[in-house]
Amino acid sequence: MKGPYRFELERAVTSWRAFLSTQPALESDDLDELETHLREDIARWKAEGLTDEEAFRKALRRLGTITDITGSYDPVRADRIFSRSGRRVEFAAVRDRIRSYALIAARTLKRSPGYAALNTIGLALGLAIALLTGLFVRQHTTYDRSVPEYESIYRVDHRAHESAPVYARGPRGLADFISENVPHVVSATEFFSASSFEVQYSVGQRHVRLPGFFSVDSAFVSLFGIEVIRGKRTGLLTEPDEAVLTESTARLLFGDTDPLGRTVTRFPGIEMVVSAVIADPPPKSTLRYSGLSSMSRYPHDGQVEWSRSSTRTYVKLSDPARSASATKAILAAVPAEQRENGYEILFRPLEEVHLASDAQAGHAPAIDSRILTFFGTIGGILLLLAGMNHVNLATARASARAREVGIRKAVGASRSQLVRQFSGESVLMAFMALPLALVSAVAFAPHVESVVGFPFSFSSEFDMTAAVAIVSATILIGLISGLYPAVVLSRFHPTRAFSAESDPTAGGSMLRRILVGAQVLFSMVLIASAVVTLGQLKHIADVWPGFDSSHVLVLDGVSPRHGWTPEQISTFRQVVSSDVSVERTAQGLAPGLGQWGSITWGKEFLGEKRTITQIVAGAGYFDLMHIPIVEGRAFTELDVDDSTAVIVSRRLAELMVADGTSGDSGSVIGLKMDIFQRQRTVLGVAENIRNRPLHAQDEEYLAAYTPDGTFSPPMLVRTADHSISHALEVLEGAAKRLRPDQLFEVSFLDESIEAQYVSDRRLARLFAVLAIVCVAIACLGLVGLATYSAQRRTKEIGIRKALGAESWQIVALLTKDVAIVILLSSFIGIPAVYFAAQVWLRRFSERIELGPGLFLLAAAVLTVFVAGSVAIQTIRAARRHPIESLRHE
Amino acid sequence: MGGVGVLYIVWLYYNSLSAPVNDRFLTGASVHAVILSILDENDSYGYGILGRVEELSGGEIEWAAGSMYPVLRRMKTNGWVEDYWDEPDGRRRRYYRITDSGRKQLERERRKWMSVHRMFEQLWGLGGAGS
Repeated sequence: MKGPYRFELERAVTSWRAFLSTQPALESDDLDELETHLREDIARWKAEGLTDEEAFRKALRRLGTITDITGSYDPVRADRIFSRSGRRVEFAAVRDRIRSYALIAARTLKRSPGYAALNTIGLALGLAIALLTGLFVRQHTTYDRSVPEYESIYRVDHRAHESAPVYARGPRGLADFISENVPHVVSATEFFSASSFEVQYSVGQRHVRLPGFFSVDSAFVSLFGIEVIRGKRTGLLTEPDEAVLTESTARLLFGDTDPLGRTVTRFPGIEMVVSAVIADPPPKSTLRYSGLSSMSRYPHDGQVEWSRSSTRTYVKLSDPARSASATKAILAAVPAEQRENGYEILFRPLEEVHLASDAQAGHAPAIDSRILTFFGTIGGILLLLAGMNHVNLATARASARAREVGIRKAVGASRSQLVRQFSGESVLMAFMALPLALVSAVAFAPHVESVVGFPFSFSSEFDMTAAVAIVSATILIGLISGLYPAVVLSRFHPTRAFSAESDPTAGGSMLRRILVGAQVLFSMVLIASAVVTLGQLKHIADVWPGFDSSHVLVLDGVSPRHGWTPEQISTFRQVVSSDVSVERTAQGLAPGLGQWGSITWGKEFLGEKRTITQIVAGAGYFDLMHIPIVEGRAFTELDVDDSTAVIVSRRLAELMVADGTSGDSGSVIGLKMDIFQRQRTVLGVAENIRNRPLHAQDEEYLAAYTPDGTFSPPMLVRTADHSISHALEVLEGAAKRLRPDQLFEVSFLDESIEAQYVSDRRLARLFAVLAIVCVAIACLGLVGLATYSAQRRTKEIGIRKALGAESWQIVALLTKDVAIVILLSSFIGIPAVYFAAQVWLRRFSERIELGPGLFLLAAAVLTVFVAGSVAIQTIRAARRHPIESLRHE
Repeated sequence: MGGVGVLYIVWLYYNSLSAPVNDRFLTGASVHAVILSILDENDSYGYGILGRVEELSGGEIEWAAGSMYPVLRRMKTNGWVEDYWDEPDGRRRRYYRITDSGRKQLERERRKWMSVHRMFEQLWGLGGAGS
């Protein structure tokens, strides 16, 4: 109310009583009693010479706070009587104070259950997701912490040269070398472990297949601090026929009987004697073994074979700061030629092994740390959104309490008291979301694993720290959302609060709109990402990938990397090819598994230093993979001595012709290229391949033939139809005869590729899930905004209806607010996402068309949700009878 | 972040303890006895009871009206007082009257407080009733 302010006693008392009458705990008799009391007190002070206003305010102050009057009309204890002497003195116990907040919360719930539900659900959702993502990230960043002195333990990784992939395997004999020659080393161990390769253990007629059979040296158990439960503790695993079982394995094989000294048979027919039982590997550990045997079974002359890599090497240093010098010391022992090629030794700290997704041949699936960053960010953002919602809604409600604030101020409440009061109530409202959040988190937890593809155990990860964190987040959100109304409202002149038109929160609406707009924008981005990723994935899956992976086996161990000489390899190929079940063999890195490395071509090419995918392929590779040769020819057996041949992909050839690199001939055949330390000639052009579904640059590749051991691909075998099991026998037999010391490993190419697709599909699905959650939270925010708008203008609506406006006109008026927010966000969001998606998709030669259809779909989905949620509120408000609206105070 | 939450709760608690311990326990414990005694003299209404307390304590004790009414309501539930509406001098007020059950309660309170009073008589050398 503008204009000269005049205090009128009757109006003040009437307003005061009107306000009190909204408290559900007071009946009209009680109101009469209190009013009489107030008037008598006013009369007393007027009689003592005070003005109307002074008397009113004094009487009001003596009456007590609203909370006392109303909150205490429920069961109360006599010792809560207030006593004042000059200044206000409260002695409600914390419990009582909280109880009064609870009553106010209950009152709010009763009065506007819609609001309360919105508030609570939105916040609960945000809290639940933040909790799950936080725990997930924490779980995967704290692997291997149960290993004693883990900060001093490192895995020794190798890289042949700068652009080769990192290998988690190294040469045999390295551990002993390190122990003897490298300073500051406490101990070193090496072992063979097949990643998920299952081994069959047998005791009599009992057979058990388990993954994780490691062949270790005698330092393994002590370096990793593994607890020996039974059996000898020293000199473990020195005998060739020794076996050490984990508790679970022992129980599976031997039940409750003592396994010590008993015989276990490992397929195919290798007998071992159990010398000890060790504890199961702890839950968050990258070494998942079910049983150990001694490496002494595979004799070794003690020399370090640097061109081979077969074992995993771990080192424990006396001082973590010494890792650099240790690395150098090991590097000094690498043969000069390899060192000059750029050989690198990398010490990978144990706590990072789980995150080392870049290393090839790791023995347990490592998680890409980018996934963790992604999760952490999403969790944080969703929590932020949910919190913003809560603040928004609380702020919107605050205007309804302007008069209450006015009375409290008249009664003498100080600003800090008001702030405390609002904050306290607000914190309690926030706390209502906590149980729902916990229940939701527990309900969603099992699904995290299937969506993300990595293990997640909620119950074991949720500890005191997590509980405290989530409680604090709730308190913080509650505090912040109580702060704004408290600060804004408490600035208000008390008597102005008695007029009905005041709306102190109008100023905050811009901020509110921005917040909601941001939520809508974010939802749109997520939806669009989900749609684009899923669309591209599906499209690519339908398109021929450029090679045929069915009936192809990958023999990882048959490779120069594992010590196979060229003679052994060619003998192997001759022997197995003579069997009718084997169609073809070739050496090469199979496509589709993401194993191809990349090289940066030093030459300026198309105006930029280009990174080209590089594969190692031997004779018969392209034939085996059914990749057509477009021009020229592929490597044949006759090229055995010609290690200067190179094959390029069609896309690369096109680029080179366009660039003029190939000269005027228009063809790249015969072109000389300076690659891999020597001049090579382009022999042929092969068709493009899709190596990994969502990685486009693999289409430009270059295949080189290197019969020496620098790049050592595995052996690929294509089997004839319906003969896979026979082929497997033939292959294993031949491998065992040539290299009896080696563990035979084989995998199916199409299964491995399918696994790749699965993980990419998971990513897309994850986008979809998050998009849905984000939309849900945004919707809640929008509903809140709409409700608040509707409430604020109830009188206006009433008047308009009385003047003859139709319901739909009212709806249009009310949705204008919300519609503007959505439209603006769409204008910003859709073009931005469209542009970004186009850029991303341009990399793929096979790509989906980004018609406006896709985006209109996203926008439509969003609009439907939003409109639906807003409509309910506005229609209800618009249809309310005008008389009711006008009576609303 | 946990610290923030803990600190807030601690702060709330200390704020609520801003009263000197005496006031809380004494005033609270005596309220029933005082009201019942006042009503035993004469029926009265809320404002009147407050005035009598002020008068009797020489202005030193002031009860917050808003907290007293709930106590009266509680006493009514316990059956110690009953209420009626009356308009002796133009103003319609709710009056309270002590019941038989209330008188019994008053007797209990009297005994309780008299034993405390006898202790102070000896400790502080109070001469006779009132001081």
